[in-house]
Amino acid sequence: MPEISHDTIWVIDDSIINQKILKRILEPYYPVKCESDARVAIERMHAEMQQLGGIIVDLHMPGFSGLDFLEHCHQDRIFTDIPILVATSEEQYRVEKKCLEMGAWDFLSSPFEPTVVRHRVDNAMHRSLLRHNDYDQLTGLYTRERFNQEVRQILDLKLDQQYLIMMVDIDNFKGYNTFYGIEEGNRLLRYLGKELGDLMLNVPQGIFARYSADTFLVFGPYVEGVVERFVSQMTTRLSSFNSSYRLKPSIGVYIIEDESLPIDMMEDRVRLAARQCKGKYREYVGYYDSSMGDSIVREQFLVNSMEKALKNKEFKVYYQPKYSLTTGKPHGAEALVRWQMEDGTMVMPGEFIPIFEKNVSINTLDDYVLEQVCIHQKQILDKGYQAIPISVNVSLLNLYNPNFARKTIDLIRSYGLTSKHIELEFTESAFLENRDMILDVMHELHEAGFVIYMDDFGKGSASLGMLRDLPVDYLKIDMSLLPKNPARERGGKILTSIIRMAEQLKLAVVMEGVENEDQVRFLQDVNCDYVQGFFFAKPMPETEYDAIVEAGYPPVTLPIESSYVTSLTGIWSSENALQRFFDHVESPMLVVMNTPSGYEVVRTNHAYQEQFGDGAPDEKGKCKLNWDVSADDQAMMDIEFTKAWQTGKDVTFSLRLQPGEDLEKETFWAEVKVSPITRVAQRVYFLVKVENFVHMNKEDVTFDEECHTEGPGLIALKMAGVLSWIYHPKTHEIHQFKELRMLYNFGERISNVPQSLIDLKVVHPDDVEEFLDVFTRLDRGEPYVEASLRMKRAVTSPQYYYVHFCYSTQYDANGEPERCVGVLLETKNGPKVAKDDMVTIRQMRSMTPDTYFLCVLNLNREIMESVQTSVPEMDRKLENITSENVFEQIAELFCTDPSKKKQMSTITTEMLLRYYYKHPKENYELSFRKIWGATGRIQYLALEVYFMKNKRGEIYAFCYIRDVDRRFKEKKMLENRASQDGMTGLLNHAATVEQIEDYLRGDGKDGSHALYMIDVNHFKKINDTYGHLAGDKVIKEIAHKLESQFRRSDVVGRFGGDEFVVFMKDIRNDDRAAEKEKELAEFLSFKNWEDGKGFVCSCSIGTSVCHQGDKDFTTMLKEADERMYKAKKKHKSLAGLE
Amino acid sequence: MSKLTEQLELMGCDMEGALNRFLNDEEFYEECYGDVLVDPAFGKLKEALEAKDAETAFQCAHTLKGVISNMGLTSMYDIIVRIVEPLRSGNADNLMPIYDELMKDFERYKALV
Repeated sequence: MPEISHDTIWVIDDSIINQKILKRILEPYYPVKCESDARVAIERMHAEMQQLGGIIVDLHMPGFSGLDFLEHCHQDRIFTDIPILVATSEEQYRVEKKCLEMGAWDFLSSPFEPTVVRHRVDNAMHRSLLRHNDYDQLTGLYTRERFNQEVRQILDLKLDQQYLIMMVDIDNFKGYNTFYGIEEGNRLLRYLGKELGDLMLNVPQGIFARYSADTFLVFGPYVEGVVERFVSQMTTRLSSFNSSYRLKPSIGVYIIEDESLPIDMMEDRVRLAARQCKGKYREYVGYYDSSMGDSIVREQFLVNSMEKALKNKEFKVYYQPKYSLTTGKPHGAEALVRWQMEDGTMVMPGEFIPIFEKNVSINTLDDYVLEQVCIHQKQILDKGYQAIPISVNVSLLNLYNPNFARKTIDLIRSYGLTSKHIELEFTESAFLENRDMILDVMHELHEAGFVIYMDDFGKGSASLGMLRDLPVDYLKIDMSLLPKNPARERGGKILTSIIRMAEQLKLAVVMEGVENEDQVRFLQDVNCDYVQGFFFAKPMPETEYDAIVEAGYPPVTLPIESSYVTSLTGIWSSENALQRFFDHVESPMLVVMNTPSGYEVVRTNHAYQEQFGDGAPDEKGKCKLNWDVSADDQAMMDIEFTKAWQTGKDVTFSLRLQPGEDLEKETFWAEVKVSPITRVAQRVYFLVKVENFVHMNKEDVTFDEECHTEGPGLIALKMAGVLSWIYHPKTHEIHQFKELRMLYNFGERISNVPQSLIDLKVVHPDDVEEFLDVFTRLDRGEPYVEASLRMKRAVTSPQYYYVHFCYSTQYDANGEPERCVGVLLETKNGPKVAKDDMVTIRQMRSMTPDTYFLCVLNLNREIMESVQTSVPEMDRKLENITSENVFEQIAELFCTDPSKKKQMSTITTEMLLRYYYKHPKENYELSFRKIWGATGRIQYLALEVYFMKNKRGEIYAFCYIRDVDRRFKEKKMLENRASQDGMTGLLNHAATVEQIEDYLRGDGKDGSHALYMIDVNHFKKINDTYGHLAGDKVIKEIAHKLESQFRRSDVVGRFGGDEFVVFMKDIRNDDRAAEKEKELAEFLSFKNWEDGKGFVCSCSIGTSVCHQGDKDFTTMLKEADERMYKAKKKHKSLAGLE
Repeated sequence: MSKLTEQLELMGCDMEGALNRFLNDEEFYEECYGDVLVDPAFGKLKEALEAKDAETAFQCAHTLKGVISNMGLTSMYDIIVRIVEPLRSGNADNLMPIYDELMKDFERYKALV
């Protein structure tokens, strides 16, 4: 491959020795060729033109001398700009002058001094224009200028030949450079240069050059197939350069038709042609056609017409209102410019704006539009109408002008307008360049109060991080991000994220290009604030806009809430684990949505549908239920739902439900647990679990009252015929039952117990002590007392019989013993109770007043030995109860909790037997809550099963349904009392410390956490000025606010009178903790009203942060406390207080 | 210094200057020395002088002068200078004797290799 190097020095000297010497001197630096005969030299040089760099010619040569040579060179084209040095030993003026006239560049005097020779040759080569203007340094190819000259020369020859120009552009050259480095990129270019040279070698009139960084030009005759061959060759050679990086050429072709065109323009055309296939994966060739050229012409035309157009007011401002998606009212309008030329043709901004931007005429246009808008707004105000803000587009170029902000502000003010009337929109791409300069301008505008929009968001490549630093108020999302049907398309999800992000950044969002109803509904769901688009209003001329202004900005009708299917996509998708859980959980559950227009059931799970028979979605996805909430309970329900939403915690309550249309059905009570899920736009979603439900039963009223007063056990005992007394510890009286009186005729009422009975000598003397002891214990309030004694049946009877006493205490609301129910059993065989009697004793023992039901099952033989109940309903069915269906029956009757009901009805004797063998010493327990149909009262009940083996080895199960309400509630109360602060419901001091310390020692020992000490400012003053009630309100308010600011897992406690401590677990970093402190301080600063007077409450906060357990609670507390005091002092001094 | 250059030095030649021009490469110098000895210019000069062709003779003499000067062959140089100058003005007469003198000196140098 021939080298295009232009660095070969030719030594033309008839003396071999001189040749040798010169060669020797120059060889290390240049390639050297020698020739003795100058004429031969000329021929040889012609043949090796591309390497010819410089010539040293001996002046005195026989035949063709140096001077002759010089003369020849003067004429011969190839020697133009080639340095020629004359070697001579003569320095006579005459000769020198002649040489120089003939074009010699310098002299080399013989004998040759090596360094001098070298320097002179170097200098000459340096000066050689060859290396600068005509040849590209890197590749050695012609430069563009040279190319143009050469081409022009050939065209001027007017040969009968059509020519073409091709431009070879390497598509991903920049990427190549970046990836492999500039050296490698250069190597590629040199390679291409050589390849081109190679290709063009045999093309007469072929000229090629390097046009720009990664572009080459080729000129040659246009013959059939030349383009195809060239493209194929170029592609092959390019791809064989680097196998691991795909380099694609884009080749533009311009077939020269008008040879008179300046070559530069031809190059413009071929460039346009090359652009056609740039970036297009499979397109290698682009042909220029006239339409491309037309665009250049058009561009020029528009640019030229602009000034005139401005003068003639051909530019018209159109207005497109933006609408609020919540209210439907216009929120502002965007000013858009249209160009209506004199002849009536409209030029769209999409066409002229980029052109003006290129030509820096955009500034003028911007200023014009701004002024027009100002004039228009003033007109509106002068007419007495309200003017909503109109936003004006500002081009990037304007932002480069440091005076822009000042200029704009002044202009607007000069019309008497404020930032309320004019807003500014900057396009996204503006933010990419020269951020600092633009930031300054934006800040200036922002500080002057102007609202700033970032327009076309999402269209370009702005990074989301930019939004963090820019003083932007609104985000206008480019329409390209809004799919036709966003709910169903992936683009919708992307859009949702952007809107959510904007929300987080406290940026309002305007969605551009809204065209159809699906989009509107979708945007409503994802909480988009504002919309702009054809669906609402097209850009309209001034007069139309004025009509809207004068009509008072009438709202647009928004489509009604979207289908539930759509809204649910905002919460969960069908593959979600949550969905699966929902459907399979055993309790009936519903998803309820609350909107300003009321509650709607969005979804129900299978358990619900099975239980209630309704709730399945119809074809539109709506769930229709057959009941409504009773009117009396609606207000209460609202309060409870609101509480759930505000605190973020579950609430449980019961409410009455009435059958919708089917009046056959009865009203029923339902106990529900409501958990807040999320909020989407104006809808709040809750998860509702039906914990209990029961039909309202009037009979229940009596039953309930009876049971509640007398105690169910009593009734059972009565019904069972077991003898019993009732002892009242407060009055020391015993009430006997009829049945007992028949046996023990001590009278209906016995007072002064136990003394009176002892006096009556009813008790055997040896057992008196024990007898006394029983009552002493009952007086003390012991829950259960048992004793074996000898007693007479009648006062007058002489005979003592062995009896076994079991007394069970019932308590009143204050926890004082109110009544003791005693059971008496005559034990026939003496003091020791017979084993057979054990069963009865057992029964007695357990037949406490709080038992609703008892049955004794022989598990081995699967028979029911006995069954008793205090519940009238059940009593009627006792005959039908067998050991097989007993649990089903009690589940049916007692259990209103659907999931527990299911569980209970599946119990079998076999299951109990197995349970006993597995856990011989344990009772089986199943607790649940019952809702009473009559009153909606919730009560804690439990199924307790006790096991016993009889002498034959058979296993008995004593199954009780018992009231454990008190037990549970007491337990809860105690628990809460121990850790709760009464007034606020937050953790109390002790519980706060305990929880934090436990956490720091346990799960949190390796993490980073923050402790906040919060103190109410001037609390004493508030109390003194407005009263303690007001102070309490403030404390409660702060507690409530704190709860809403932290996660459920964080520790929020009231530490003292006006002090709170919050422990935030697992902070991301210290900055976040500090941010939170600031947020809290702001949030906890609010106005309070008391007696019509308002006062501001605020708090001082101190923060302490620990990392990997480097501090214990005490240290953190101290630190936070100190910092809080500092803050407090600062606050005081700021407030001008002492 | 090699044998050749030593001897040349003894003959009154400025070897230091000469070697400098030959990049201090003795081998190169010797190579070129050899070339000088067979330089056809000597023959051509003779022919031109015999033909009374002053111009050609001048060119040859001039070339030779340069070469001899380069090689530092001082004594030869002194002789050829006396040939070159007259030829420059176009006078080729009476130069044969000087040429003979030149060639005699030439033999001395030739004898060294």
